[in-house]
Amino acid sequence: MTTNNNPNISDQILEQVDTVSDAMRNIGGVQDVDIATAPREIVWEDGKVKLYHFSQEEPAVAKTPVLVAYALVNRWEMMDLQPNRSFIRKLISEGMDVYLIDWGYPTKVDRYKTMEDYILGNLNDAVDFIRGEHNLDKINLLGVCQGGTFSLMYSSLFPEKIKNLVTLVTPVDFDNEEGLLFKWAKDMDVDAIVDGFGGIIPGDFLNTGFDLLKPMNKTRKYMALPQTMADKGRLMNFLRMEHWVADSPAQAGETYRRFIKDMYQHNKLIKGEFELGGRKVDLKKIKMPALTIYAKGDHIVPPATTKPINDLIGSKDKELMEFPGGHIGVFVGGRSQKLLTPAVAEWLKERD
Amino acid sequence: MSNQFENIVEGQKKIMDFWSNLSQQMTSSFKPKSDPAEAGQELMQDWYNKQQAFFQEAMKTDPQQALEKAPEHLKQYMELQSEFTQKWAEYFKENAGKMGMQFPAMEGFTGYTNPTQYFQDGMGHWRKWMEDGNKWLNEQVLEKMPFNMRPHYTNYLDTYNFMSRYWEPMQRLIKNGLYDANMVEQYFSADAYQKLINQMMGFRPVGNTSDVVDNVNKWFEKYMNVAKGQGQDWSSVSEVWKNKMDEYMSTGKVPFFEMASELNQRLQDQLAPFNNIASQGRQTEISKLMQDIQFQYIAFILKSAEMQTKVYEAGQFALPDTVRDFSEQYKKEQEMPDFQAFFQHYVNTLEEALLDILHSAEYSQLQSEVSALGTQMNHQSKRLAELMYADMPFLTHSEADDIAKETSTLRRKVRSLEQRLAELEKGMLLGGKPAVEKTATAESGGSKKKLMDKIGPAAAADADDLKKIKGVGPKLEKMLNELGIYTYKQISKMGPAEYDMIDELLGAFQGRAKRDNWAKQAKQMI
Repeated sequence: MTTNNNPNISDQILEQVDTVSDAMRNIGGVQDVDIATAPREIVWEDGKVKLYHFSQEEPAVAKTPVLVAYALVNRWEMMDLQPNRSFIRKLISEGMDVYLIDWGYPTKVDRYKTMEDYILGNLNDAVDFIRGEHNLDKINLLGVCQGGTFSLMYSSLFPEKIKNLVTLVTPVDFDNEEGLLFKWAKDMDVDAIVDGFGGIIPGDFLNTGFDLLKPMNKTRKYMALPQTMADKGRLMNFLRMEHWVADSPAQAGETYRRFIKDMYQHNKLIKGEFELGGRKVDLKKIKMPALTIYAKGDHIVPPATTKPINDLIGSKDKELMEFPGGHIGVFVGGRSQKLLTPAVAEWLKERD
Repeated sequence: MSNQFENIVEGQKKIMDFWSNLSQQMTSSFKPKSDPAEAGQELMQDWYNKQQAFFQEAMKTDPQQALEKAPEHLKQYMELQSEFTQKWAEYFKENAGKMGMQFPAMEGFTGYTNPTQYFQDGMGHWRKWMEDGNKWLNEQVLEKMPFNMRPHYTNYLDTYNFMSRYWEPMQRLIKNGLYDANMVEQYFSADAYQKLINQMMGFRPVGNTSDVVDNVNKWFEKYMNVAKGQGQDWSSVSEVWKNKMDEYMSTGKVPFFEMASELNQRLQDQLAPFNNIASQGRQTEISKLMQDIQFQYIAFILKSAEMQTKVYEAGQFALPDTVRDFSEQYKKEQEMPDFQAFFQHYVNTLEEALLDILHSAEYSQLQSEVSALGTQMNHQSKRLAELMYADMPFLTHSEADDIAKETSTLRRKVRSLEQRLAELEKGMLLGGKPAVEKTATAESGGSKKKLMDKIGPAAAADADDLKKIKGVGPKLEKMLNELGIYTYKQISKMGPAEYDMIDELLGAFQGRAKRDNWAKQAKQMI
């Protein structure tokens, strides 16, 4: 309130009362916060890991299905957070046949689960299952963030099984000082932390790290809450995002230790020093068509950590695509719906 | 949410003040000389009755309904006030000429002796109503949030309210252009400022250094008592500790790390013979662990205090800087910000300052040390508890760990066997020995007949949802259908021999039918 006597003060108050009244009606009416609503079925599972096949009303235009591999950090539901802005739904409506691997929620019994178990085990099994179902030698692989790093490793070891490779906001060059996570991970005493947590890294530990990247983000978000809540749609999206953030799975200790050490601290992948199950991972062996997407304003995986993929792989048919937004905007932003997802589908269909 | 409500209350207050002043001015113009004015009396009484009725109506319902109707109520209230003001003005105009007219007697208003009091009470109603609504709304928001996000929200509310309590002095500072760096110290106590940053950043305060020293002393004494129980003479170490403490505390400087490591060394020296004699004993490990935990604890507390101090230092100019920015603006434009704009600006300034420190190598190093120390201490404490309860019939962390290790090894072994098997199968087919598949088909033809003889045929049209049977997924259901198995009735007739045939026929999902006892499940479904 300004101190000068505003003749329209009662209008202002009325407007505010309207806002609060709408907010109250909206929040009172919230029954259930729905996320990941695209219809799907579990077609394969192994312990905590599941493979989903998303249902489609029309038969897919593309004959090669695409397998989505999300990061171990946070949940894949980000790809289908809001029904009206779902990356998965959009991909399907663009004519793709979509599978997704759900890594599940690791518990203590998974503390010795290694990157080999994830990539040579789970990911390879899922790829083989889809190949078998569709009677195809090769399928498409779409890796997201850390899941993209896994996908690069996998495609280098099993190029005969992957037709096209798409990586979304995927870190590959970890020698970066610009991203705080990259800086902090270099100083991290990961042995002490993995052992200290008894081999299973709680999701809250990771979330605190993400929070500190923009320490006042939450405050700003909560300040805007009355206005957010006055709009039913925005309120639901706020709650969906809160639920997604809160639902942060723990990390299997050995995989976490290896990823921090070999990737963040020693940057082994791009140096050609990384080995998986005794086999050297050579990015030059990736020869299939590859699409690399980075987000211009990404503060979690800065563009500089992603872009080198395009130079490091052996593919002749390759493309680097910039998305004008942040890490999360890639999945839920309006521009993602309008520009990015159709472009990905188009790129894949051209190479079907 | 408080901000919106506070704004409303704030605005309301201004309107009340305005009317209150107006009516005082108006009443003062009626000189108490003439006869009481009946008309004025009626006017006031009418106004009072209407207000009374309004508040009764507005406060009758629950907060949600009340708020839904709030815009309407507020409009009504405004109209009521305007109507009164208008009437009053007419009345005033009409009677102003009649000098010596007396102000209508206030006794007519039950319980009210002057209009200001009356307005203030009205204001109180509004405030209470707003506060109730505010509380209700916050509860609603919290209820809809995931439980581990709730503390973030309550922290925010606390912070916001905390800051808003300083809003009055802040406004004066802005007006007077005072914004030196000492402001934080002058207007916030050190504790209050720590609390503020802690809430914003989610840090937990470690308390002040002397509390830490007290804590450490307590830990140390406890530890010494345990150790004493083991028959050693600890007086010398105890004394060293005490002397060091006295020495350093009097100077006000406590070089903890130096001291801790010195004491640690002494303890180790003293423990050595004992540990050697009883190297197998649980007690030995317990005492060693307690020693470790103690020093990790000291280190953790101090390192974390150091880290937090860095953050406080970085943030300490955010407030004076914010005041300065608004103060300069005030000088130019004579305009005060509202509290929300002020808070927003403060939050942004603070974030900028914090990001500076978060990006520093120094902070990164400290953060790493703090998290390593914290998790290690946690780990040691668990180990300690495990040792203490080693004789109890619990599954301990280390035992669970062994199981996890075993599980992983088995998982890897299964994977390599599966891959080997796939390679062999492929090799056999490619090696011109399709006989394997043929034999299997021939055999399965026989098994299939036997199986169908036992369970009977069924048509796809009669199909039950076999997925309802535990262990049967869409894939397996499809395979069963392909064999001609569609109904619960068929499955209910199966026995161990049929389970084996299923295993043989399907090749995949070995042993699942037996494990989940399909027949029993199917019987329950019929």
